[in-house]
Amino acid sequence: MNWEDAIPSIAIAQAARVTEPAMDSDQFAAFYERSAKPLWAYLARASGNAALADDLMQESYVRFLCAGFPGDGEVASRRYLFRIASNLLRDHWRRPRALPLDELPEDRSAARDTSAQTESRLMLSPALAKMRPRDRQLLWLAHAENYSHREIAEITGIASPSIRLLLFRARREMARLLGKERA
Amino acid sequence: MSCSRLDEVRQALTAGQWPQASAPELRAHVETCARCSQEVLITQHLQLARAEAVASAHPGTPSLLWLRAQARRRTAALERAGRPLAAAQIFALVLVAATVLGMVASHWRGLVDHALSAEGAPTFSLTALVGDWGMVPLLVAFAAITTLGGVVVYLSAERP
Repeated sequence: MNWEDAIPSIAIAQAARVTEPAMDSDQFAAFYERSAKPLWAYLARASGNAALADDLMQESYVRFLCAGFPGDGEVASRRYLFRIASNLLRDHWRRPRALPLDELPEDRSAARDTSAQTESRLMLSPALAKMRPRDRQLLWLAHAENYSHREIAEITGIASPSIRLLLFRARREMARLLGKERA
Repeated sequence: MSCSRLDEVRQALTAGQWPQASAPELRAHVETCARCSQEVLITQHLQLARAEAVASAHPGTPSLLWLRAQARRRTAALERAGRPLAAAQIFALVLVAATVLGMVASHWRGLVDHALSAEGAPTFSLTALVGDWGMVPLLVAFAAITTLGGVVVYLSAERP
């Protein structure tokens, strides 16, 4: 125990400095504006539960701010945010099972549909619902968010060499399920 | 299973150039290549699902999250600052307990005799205590009261 620890006011001031957010409220508002919807989309599709996605998204941002991530620009901050969200998702999956994707409320999933979207949703939702949560997560990060294998490894905490194999299997399974739905 | 033209296909998909703005020769390749057609199928479906989910997302206001984060940061900072005090508290309690146990251990026979004798209250005096132990018990008690008193004052002043 050093002498600063014995004086609460100094310790509080230091702790506050250490946990100071890396961005001010205006910067955060702008970052939130750009990243909230893609993050929600990821959480909603990977978890299959819109209400859960709302909760996890809020918790992700609060943890992001508390961590005071001194990210090197928007891309790194966004990747860090997705990493927090992925950890929260993983914690959720360790608890009781999530609702299947076809239980996503209609008003949240069918807003402003085009015919292509409707057709795609009719095929994709049942296919995604049959997949394992981790496969859904990997496919989303790779194909919807266009992250590289290295970035996906960073976000999910899975070793980079495993990502290639897991994605290969997930893609094959997804293609099989989509083919089945089409037939 | 891989394909040398997969990167080209991915680039076209990411840039939104697939299929209209991509080369006819690349389109012809995708029709015959199992890996590339799988890539196109999955990416197109997931990109559409992403667009749909992004359009239906209604995130709340960032100011609420900002305030929540501030409150959590402050709580965490207070907890960190309170740790040395908690350690001092435990140390003081252990010291007091050790002193009491030490005194009981060295005087247990006398205490038992006093308890069993019918002659009235035990003759336990401050002078006798100082005579047996020197100033140690008094110093320990004073240190413990000072430490605990500081903790009590801090907790009542800082904690809501």
